Amino acid sequence: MTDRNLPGSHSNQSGKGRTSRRAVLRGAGIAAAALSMPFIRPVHAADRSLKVATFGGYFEHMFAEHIYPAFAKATGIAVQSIEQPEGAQFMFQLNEANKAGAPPMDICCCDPVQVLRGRAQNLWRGFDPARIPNFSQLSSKFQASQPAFDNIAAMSWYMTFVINPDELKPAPESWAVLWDEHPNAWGIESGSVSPILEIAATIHFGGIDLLSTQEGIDKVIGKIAELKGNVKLWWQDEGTMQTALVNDEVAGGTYMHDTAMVMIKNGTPVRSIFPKEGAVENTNFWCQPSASTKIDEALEFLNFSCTPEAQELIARFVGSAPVIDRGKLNLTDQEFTAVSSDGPSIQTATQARYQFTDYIERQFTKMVTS
Amino acid sequence: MKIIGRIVFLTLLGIFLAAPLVVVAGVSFNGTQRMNFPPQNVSLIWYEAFFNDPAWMSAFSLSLTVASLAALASVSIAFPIAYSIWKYQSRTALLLESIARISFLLPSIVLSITFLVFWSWLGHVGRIEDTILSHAVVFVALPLATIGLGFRSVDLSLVEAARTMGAREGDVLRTVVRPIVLPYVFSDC
Amino acid sequence: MILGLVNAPQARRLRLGVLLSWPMLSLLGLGGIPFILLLRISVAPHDPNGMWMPGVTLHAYGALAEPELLGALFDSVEMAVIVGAISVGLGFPLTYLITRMRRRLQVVWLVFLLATLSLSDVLIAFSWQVMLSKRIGLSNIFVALGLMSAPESLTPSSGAVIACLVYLVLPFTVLTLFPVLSRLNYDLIEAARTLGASPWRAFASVVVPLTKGPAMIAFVMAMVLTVGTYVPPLVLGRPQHWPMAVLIGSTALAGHDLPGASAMSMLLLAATVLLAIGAAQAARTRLRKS
Repeated sequence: MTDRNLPGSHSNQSGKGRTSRRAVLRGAGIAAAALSMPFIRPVHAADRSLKVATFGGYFEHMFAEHIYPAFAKATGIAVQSIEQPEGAQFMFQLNEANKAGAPPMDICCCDPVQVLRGRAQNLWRGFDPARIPNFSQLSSKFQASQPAFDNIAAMSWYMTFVINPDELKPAPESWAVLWDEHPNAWGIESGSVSPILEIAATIHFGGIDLLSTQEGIDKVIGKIAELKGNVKLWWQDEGTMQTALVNDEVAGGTYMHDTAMVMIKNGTPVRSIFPKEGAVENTNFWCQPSASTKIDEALEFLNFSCTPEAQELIARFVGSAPVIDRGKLNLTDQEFTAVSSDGPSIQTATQARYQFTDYIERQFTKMVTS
Repeated sequence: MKIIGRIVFLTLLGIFLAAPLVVVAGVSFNGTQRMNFPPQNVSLIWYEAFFNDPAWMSAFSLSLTVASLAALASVSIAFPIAYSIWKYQSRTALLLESIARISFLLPSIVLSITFLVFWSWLGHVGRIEDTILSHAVVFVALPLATIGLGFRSVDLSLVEAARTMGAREGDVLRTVVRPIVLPYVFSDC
Repeated sequence: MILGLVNAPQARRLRLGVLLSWPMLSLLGLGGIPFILLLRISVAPHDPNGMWMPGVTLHAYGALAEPELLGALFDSVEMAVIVGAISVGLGFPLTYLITRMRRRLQVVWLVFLLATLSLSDVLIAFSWQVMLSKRIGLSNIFVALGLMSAPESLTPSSGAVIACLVYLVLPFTVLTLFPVLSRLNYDLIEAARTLGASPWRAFASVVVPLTKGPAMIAFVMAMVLTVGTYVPPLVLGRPQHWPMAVLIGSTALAGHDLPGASAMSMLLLAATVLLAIGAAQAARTRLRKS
């Protein structure tokens, strides 16, 4: 149960779209998030259809533009793309909607903590493994036995050390640089979703096991507190960190590798570094709300997602790391290193984040605000 | 000297108010999100992207729709209350007015949490009616105040005069009250 | 005649019932019920998987006694008073000057103010983040003017948060004061002036007493708007000064703890109501004195 469910707690609280320069202009406070509605793309008439939800913004755009059409071509099933809110409100709403028998989508994209939460509420439908023959194509760590078989790895993404090369010389090779003398230099994600927990545990306590108890969490947060003089921006929303990076407000910090790559493509001279200890790896999983009636179509979609072809498309266009071993994929070196790394990676402490969400949030806030 | 002070004050405030609008426009016209003064790669790609993208246009027209429907709904709630207070001095209406005022006093973060909980509890996800109604109820205090102001500015002697001249209730409403109150109603929409 | 007497109140009640059924339904349904639900959740046990669990506990209220939370509450109130005072302090003379402009200029200013309202709080916070940055921000202008030796970043700071919040609130202040000030009888000021009062004296002795009430309403509204904002202090402020709104947001959305967030909301609401009552009370006693 531990390494199978990697948290991709990619929660950004203002409900802004994942990634994206657009997120900045799209601006939505949490008021808007609480009141917001998913945007539903029109879909061409088709006999068979499926509603698939992913994080909004650039991410959803790329899926709608490149991935779903390929799926429709392969199976004849048209996909209606839906933007999925992030943070707790998504689970609150989905759960009640599912109980009412009207989930807004047939398949959604979850981080591992959401997978566990949904499971505890009987939210997910279990799949028949025989109907997803391509499941065996996934990397072995994504095939580890799961009791419920209610989630299928969709894609991975990394939290890397993103820097402004002009502001930080030499470029860091280790996360340990965060703790060196760099006053007011960093932008670090704040709160219980922050990868800094795993980073601090790995650098200073030899691994993430310490996070499995409250005492351990206190120790790790104590280590993070030593960073306070170095941190200029404790960000909760990736748009804020993006603006800070673009305007040289921070020398570097923890940030999403895929978003950093989009920023580079758009002309911002940042660098995304995989430190020698590894970047923090997060995985998202496809899950199906149990009240959805599109069982066959969903299975076909999941089977498609597990093909090397689909994973190649996701790597090329969405910018996420594939969940299939590199050897089975037809990606050039350049395409692969743009989204992933052959080096080690730091796994996320899913079980701890699930079990102690409110505790970590409280202690973290206390540490940051005191 | 006085005039100079006034001009300086207005100019500084004008700059203060204009600056964020300039920044947002500047980012839109820059080729990239990295903002420069003067803008480099001046381009309209952002606007193009905006107008050519069905998702964006739809989000934009959606927020316009929500805003205007919410305003209409707000007025539909406020008008009967203001009228009942003016015409009947109804205590129920006064009570409703104070409820509306109190809900306007709620800090927006509290409202967000309240509606998040409420609509989740009902199992409603992303329904546009929910958004419209939530906005309408929260902002009902605004039209209530202005429409109330409108009714109060109706000179009761005018109504009385109309009535003594034999006008029925409906006529009074149509000929005397409506022209005076209507501008206030529209100011809210 | 007797029949008429019996029926008149009934007819009145019937009419009122028809008139008020829709407002009552919507206000109670969408104002009352959600609020009662929030109250209910604030005394429910926390459910790590869902929204809340059945049962009653005061645990969430007990947790409010943390020094961090009380500090955040104090920060909220302090911020609200400062932003309210600055907004009215700037908004009042601004509105006054606008009402004395030519009609066309008035329209230009009002449209301008409405245009700023079209920006969401996220966009406004983003703009201030850019305007206060080291690379292209305000400090570069100060350097050009010789006031500073090198450009520097002006965030995070309380000044940045207050500037951003005043920006958010000022249009509302002006729009609240505008109807009152535009209907002021300026003959009174002229009279005071001809009697030898300085313009400032005329303003203070004629305009201020007539507009105290509306100014206080504008002040209270500015405070309520400030207390509720979440994004500007999060983006531009020091974590040590994050107000209650930020903590409520992260407790609910990241901490997944709705009972905790609901109890904190109740505390913030109580503080807001006290603040509003206090301001109204202060205005009343002042009025009586003068």
